[in-house]
Amino acid sequence: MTIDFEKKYVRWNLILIGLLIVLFFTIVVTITIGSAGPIGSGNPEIIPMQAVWDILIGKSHLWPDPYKTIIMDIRLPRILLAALVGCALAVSGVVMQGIFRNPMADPFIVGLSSGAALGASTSILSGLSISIGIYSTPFLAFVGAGLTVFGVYFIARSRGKVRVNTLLLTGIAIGSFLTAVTSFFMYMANEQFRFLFFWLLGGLYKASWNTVAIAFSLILLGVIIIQFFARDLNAMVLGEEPAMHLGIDTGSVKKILLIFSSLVAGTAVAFTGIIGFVGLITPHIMRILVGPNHRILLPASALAGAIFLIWSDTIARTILSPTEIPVGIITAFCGAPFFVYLLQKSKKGKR
Amino acid sequence: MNKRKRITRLAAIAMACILILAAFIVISYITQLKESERQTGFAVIDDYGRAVTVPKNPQRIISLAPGCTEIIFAVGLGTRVVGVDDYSNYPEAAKNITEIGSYLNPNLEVIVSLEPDLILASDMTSKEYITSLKEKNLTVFVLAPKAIEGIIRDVRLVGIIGNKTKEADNLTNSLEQRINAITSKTSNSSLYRPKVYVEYYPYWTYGPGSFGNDLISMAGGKNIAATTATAYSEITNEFVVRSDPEIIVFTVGLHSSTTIKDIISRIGWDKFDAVKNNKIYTIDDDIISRPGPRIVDALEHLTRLIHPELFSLEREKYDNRF
Amino acid sequence: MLLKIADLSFSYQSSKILDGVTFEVKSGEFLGVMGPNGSGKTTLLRCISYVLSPRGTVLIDGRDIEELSKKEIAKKIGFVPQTSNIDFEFMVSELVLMGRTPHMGRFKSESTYDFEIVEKAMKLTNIQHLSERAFDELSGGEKQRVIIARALAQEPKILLLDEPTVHLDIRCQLEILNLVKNLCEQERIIVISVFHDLNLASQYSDKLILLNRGRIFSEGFPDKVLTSENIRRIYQIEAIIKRHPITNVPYVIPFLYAKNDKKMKGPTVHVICGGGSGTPAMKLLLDNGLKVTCGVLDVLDSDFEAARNFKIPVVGEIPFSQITNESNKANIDLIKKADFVIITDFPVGPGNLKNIEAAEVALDFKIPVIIIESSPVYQRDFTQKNLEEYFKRLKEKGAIFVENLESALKEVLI
Repeated sequence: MTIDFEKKYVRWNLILIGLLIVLFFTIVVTITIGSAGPIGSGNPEIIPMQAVWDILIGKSHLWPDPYKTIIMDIRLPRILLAALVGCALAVSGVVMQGIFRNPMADPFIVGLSSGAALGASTSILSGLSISIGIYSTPFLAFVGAGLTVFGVYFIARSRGKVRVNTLLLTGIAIGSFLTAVTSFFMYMANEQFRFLFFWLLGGLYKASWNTVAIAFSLILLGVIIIQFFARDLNAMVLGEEPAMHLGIDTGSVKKILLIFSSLVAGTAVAFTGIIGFVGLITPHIMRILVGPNHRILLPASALAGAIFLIWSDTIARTILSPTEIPVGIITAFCGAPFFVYLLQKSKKGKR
Repeated sequence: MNKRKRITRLAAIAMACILILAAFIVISYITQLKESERQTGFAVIDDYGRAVTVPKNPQRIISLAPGCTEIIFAVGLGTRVVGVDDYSNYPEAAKNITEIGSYLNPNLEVIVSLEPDLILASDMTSKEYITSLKEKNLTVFVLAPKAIEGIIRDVRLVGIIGNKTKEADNLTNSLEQRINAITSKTSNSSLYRPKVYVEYYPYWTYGPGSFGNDLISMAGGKNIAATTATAYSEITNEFVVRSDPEIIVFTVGLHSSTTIKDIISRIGWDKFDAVKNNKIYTIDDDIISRPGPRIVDALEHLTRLIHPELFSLEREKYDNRF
Repeated sequence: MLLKIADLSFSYQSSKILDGVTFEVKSGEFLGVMGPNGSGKTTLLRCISYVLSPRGTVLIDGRDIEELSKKEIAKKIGFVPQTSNIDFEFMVSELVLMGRTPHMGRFKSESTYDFEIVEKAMKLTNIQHLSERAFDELSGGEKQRVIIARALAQEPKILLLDEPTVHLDIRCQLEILNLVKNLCEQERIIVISVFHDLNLASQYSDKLILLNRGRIFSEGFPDKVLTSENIRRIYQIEAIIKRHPITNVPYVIPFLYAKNDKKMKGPTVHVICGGGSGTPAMKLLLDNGLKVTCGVLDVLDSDFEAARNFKIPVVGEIPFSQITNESNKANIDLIKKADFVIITDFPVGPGNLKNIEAAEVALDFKIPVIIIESSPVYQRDFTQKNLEEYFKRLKEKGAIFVENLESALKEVLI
């Protein structure tokens, strides 16, 4: 054969390996950063670097108990949750942008965030979290997100088919409605208003090994299944009809992708509130860097999203210690300039 | 082909949802079971109705709310406080203690690294947060009084927990005396109750269920917002105008920038008795909103404003404790 | 392979786009679909590829397309749309590779065979040198070739093209259609292509379908479908149908309807012509409000066809023969009724010499004869030098010689 197809796959594998290495180092480095040290921004930094190493390799008895608690029960689960959520939001963003062929699409575009917010507010304000347990809020947020997506899909469907434009507009409309309802609840809520408001801003402070376990299983399941539809996504961005002409059953592919993307994003939102920007920008950045083929775009975005959110969260929880800045602010602050820079660079390249 | 596929698909989705729900419930249950294991100490029931095993003589106390901080210091445990939230500014000594973040989102790492043996929290910290603190094997005791009697009860509880029962009793007695001195006069049914409007933020006022509302009533006034739906609500200008308050009080502190000029320039307000008689007053935001001993200071201040004729008799008894 | 379309109908909500379309195509056949805007051409293609669900049947080798999954359909039918706007920066090789999608399972990756097919498709469309380029940087012709390559990578038995050459320059148009035609013949693919250009359709199609308002107005070989009558009925323009000089397929020359108002009371001009020289004269005279007749013309002569198109009374003659007495007499009758006679510069041979003699009769009847002499006489004299003498005689009798058609017209209008 005169054309070398394999070259592209080798390049892809290198990219993924590179990203995995960066992710690994990110986790290793950020585990040493935090309010309690060794790398922090003020007092009290009490944990020395040696302690981090010892605790990680199992020699935690050499150091006071709280050190182990901080490193293994507070920081590490939080970093892992950030990785999972960043991965989930990025992958979901890629899928939404692919299905809707719209660069403005993000994981929440079908009303997912509004549904989750309404679910969370129901849980917080009704005091259900006392009776069912602390997981009532994530669960209801997840249920809210899921029901909203289903609702939007069924409303947008006509004669058995769903046009992406209809789906988009229905999602926006219903999302706005649910947001209004939630705002009303918040307004009437009084004391719990604070909690809901804080939940909406998004944050990873609820991370624990339990949440990581649930998030891991759901998000990994979703991301893997979505990866199998990479080829379908490639065809779908060409257009509804070209995809059909290539043999893709666009109706059911759309449905499946919506379900799993919502599963993944819904899980993320359930545990961390609404963290914007990651799902919108990571796909664009990775598309500029690795190209639009979803077979590389999906895994690369997953890894990049994880790395991005870990760093953003680390900054958010350390820079003004002990106060924690909502991570959504950091993602926007850092992500936006980087994205603009990339855009400029790619424009120049074209000329 | 179509219908069958649809049914099996719906079944699969339903199955998945049930599994997820089951997972949530199971984990949640396990977590709650963990909470009930505790080490040595004695059980006290906190304001959430939970039996908390507190250590016998706590030496390292963290406070997650300014109200809790004030109570802790008031019973003499101030030297044992190792961490406070960033709003705790009273007494003066509290300002120098390590900050652990805001009461909404306290910094877990800092809290754990301070190795506290007792954490006092308010209802302003979310239950999820408290649970994650408990998951780290920390003792959290919640103070969430709903009325002034509750605050007094909390002072006693903290005294019991911190082994400062004598100081706590002294304080509570003094507080109750001061309260009684006022309420014995103001509960007189023939007393004229002037209409009072208190605001902590432009048009935001205290409704039923809030301390402010109780204080106005105890101080012998009539809160114009006594019938609002929620404890903290925004009311319309029209409502205030209709109510025609005789006394206006607004809070001052870190969050407010309202001035008397702002108040009298509001539309329709120049007709109020309060404005005509120059009965527009201020009150320290902290003492009226925090569930701590200074709530009684707030009560005395309000009574002085609403019934100056009553208060002047009791001036000697005003206790400027700390 | 046999593609059978039976009674195909399709409506968008309440408006009927296609109505009872029925036809067949065999392997190796190139079917052209034509019709005015809104006649349902594109809809027809989309119904055949089953992205729309029409009523009626589409049978591929006897199997109803309804029973096939989208994947199986894509293995048999490839579709090339008019334009492809791809917003994302896919590489050419990636795009062509997407054509293998219907053949690949979800959990498999590409095999060597897949790559071979893609390479073959790119070879056939001559885009190998573009394989690493970004699609949106290519020219229109290159883009179209990529899309065709992608369709070919599907290994289709049926190739559907929707006005494939609309935005392309002449060379690209021919390149692509030649390519498709070769594929049709060599690989025995069924090709159905919608054309907007009648001549391209005629050139490349084995059979044609002319659609009008969702129904088949005419179908069959190009000769049968491309007639001026059909074109007048469907497109409402006049056209002369000639033979393509090289390929001998019908060649449509359209023109706007010449004014032929019977109410005109202008003078009548009899045009003696042939070999195509008379057509512009007839048109010019008609446009200026004059009545026109002509003769004698060989029925295969394009002037004869033009005269029929213009609805001008004309005397025809059997081809390759002398002018008969009857024809001559008919011609002279027409001349007598005319007010002017114009002789255009047509080649004169023994066969039509009598036309010049007829002009003499005109002069005898005091009817002005205007002879257009835009080229030297000897160039069109095939009568062994008789023509010059005839012209001399005509001149002596008062014939006017002018240099071109416009001057002739001036003479008439004075």
